[in-house]
Amino acid sequence: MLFIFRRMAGAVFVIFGTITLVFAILYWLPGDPAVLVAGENATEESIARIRTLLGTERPLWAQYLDYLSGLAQGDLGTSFATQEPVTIRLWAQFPSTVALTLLASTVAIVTGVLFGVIAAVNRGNRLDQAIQSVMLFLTSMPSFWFGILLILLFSVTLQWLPAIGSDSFAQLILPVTCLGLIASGRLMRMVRNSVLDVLDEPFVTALRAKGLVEWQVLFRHVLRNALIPVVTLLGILVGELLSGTVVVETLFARQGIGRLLVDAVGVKDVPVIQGTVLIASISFVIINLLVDLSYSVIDPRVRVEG
Amino acid sequence: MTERTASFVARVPAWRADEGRRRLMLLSWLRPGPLLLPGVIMLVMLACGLFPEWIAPFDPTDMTDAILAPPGPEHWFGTDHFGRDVLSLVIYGARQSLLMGACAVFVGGLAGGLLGLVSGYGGRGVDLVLMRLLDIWMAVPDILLAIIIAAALGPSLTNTIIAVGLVTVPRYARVMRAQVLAIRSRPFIEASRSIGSSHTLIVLHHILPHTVSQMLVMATLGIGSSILIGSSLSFIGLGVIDDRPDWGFLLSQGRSYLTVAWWFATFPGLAITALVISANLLGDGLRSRLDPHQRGG
Repeated sequence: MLFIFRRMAGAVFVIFGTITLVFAILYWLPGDPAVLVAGENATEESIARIRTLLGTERPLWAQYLDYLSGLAQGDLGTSFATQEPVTIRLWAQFPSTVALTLLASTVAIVTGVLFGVIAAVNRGNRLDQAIQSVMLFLTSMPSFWFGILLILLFSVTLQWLPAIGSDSFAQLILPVTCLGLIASGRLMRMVRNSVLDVLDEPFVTALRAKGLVEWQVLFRHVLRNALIPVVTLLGILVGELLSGTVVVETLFARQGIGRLLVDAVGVKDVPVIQGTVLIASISFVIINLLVDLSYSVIDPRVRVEG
Repeated sequence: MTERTASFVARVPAWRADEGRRRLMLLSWLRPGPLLLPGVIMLVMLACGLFPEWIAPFDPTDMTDAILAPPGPEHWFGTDHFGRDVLSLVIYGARQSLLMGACAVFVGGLAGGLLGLVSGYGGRGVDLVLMRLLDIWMAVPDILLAIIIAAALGPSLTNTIIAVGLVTVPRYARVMRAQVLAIRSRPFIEASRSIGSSHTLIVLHHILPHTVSQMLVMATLGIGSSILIGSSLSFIGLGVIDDRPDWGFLLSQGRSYLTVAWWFATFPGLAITALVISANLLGDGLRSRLDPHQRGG
């Protein structure tokens, strides 16, 4: 129990720190937001009025406290560009990003575990080498280039799938493949190493010696043990996917949090930038917390050490 | 007498084996092996970055009438929407991309190494505070953090370097800290302390030399990830924006002409991938050669 409380307190601290960090960085964003909000042919007075309205000329700490109290009430501020509450803009984009991330992580986990195990079982032979080469490519390619290759092959040459947009399921296939496969590279490597470690343990020899069929050794005993360390990687995987959505949503012209962020950066819409980065970071921290906690359920040894 | 002969006989093969192993080690350092290809790719790209004017077939700013011409004998990688030679653009882009990657590794490695050193050597209190700070730092996903730093600083090569460098600080800091913690508890440090060595001397002469090889590996691997993050920034439009485009920016331009000119986006991306793969392979190779645990056997 103590372990769980400690981890949760740590997560709350990190979230609080993240809010502060993001606020501090964006405080230095050049340009006067009031000029931005006022529009093109605004007079000096109207800019000054808007500046007082936004409160951007007040000291840093006053703005920070204001932002925190707003956050406590679930208010992320008002978008400079559209004058809508940031929460509404975020909610509108959220489902699209969640669908993309969930499907991509499914693709990443399935291919990562499957090919990781296949590579480990075939240690050293041609198949293993082939999988490892593909793995190297996947971890070294920029996701946007992989996406472009997918578009060139499936949309331009074969004309099987639509390249851009986010209205139908068909439009999800390419982005999900791109994001999922890029993320599966590291997972594959981890699964392969982990399975190899477990295969070397004496209990595997014992199981084989007592005459257990190989596939039972593999699936009922080895995989169970090998996947424990892999679970920790899932937290990192989510971070990678969240980073990846920014690029992939831009490339495939999809709706979503990442695209919202890129657009907001373009017009220096600070509240929206702040909101999107915070939502992404907080989901990242919470998912990592859940992974940590589930890890302690799967592997009791962690609780003692933690 | 017989005893002496026996011990002499026993010693000779041991000495020979040792010598032989040493010679083998030297050979394995010189032997090209699997690192030949990534090493050559790296050197070629370095040459492109240093002397693009000697290597590129055209001036990358030369606009010809051949707009969006496919790859052929004259333009190997085709031409872009201004009729510029894509191969020359890629060769000139190597400078920007390599400079960005190398400097970002330098910034991140230096800051991270210093943080890790202070955290590992400074004792529990300092360690606790710095590690919590790094936790916050790492809570913002890579590219998101790079985006807001780059946005706050404005688009330029220097600012991209700072943004990417800052984003990668925690990974260097963590490795450095782990190394320092491990070395600090070894008996020879205690011995050095007990004969009155100052902390400065211990850090400079005993701790840092032991961390060099690991940090070298991290830096080599870091080139790859720095270039990936940096070119993502350029792709989004937050990176290097001037008349000398880097590979990420070239790619983002080529993206607009995918349906008519596959070569425009494909080749800059190929360059990024080749560089990152080479850096990763070299890093892995360095690790297995510098790691004393794998070398001795």
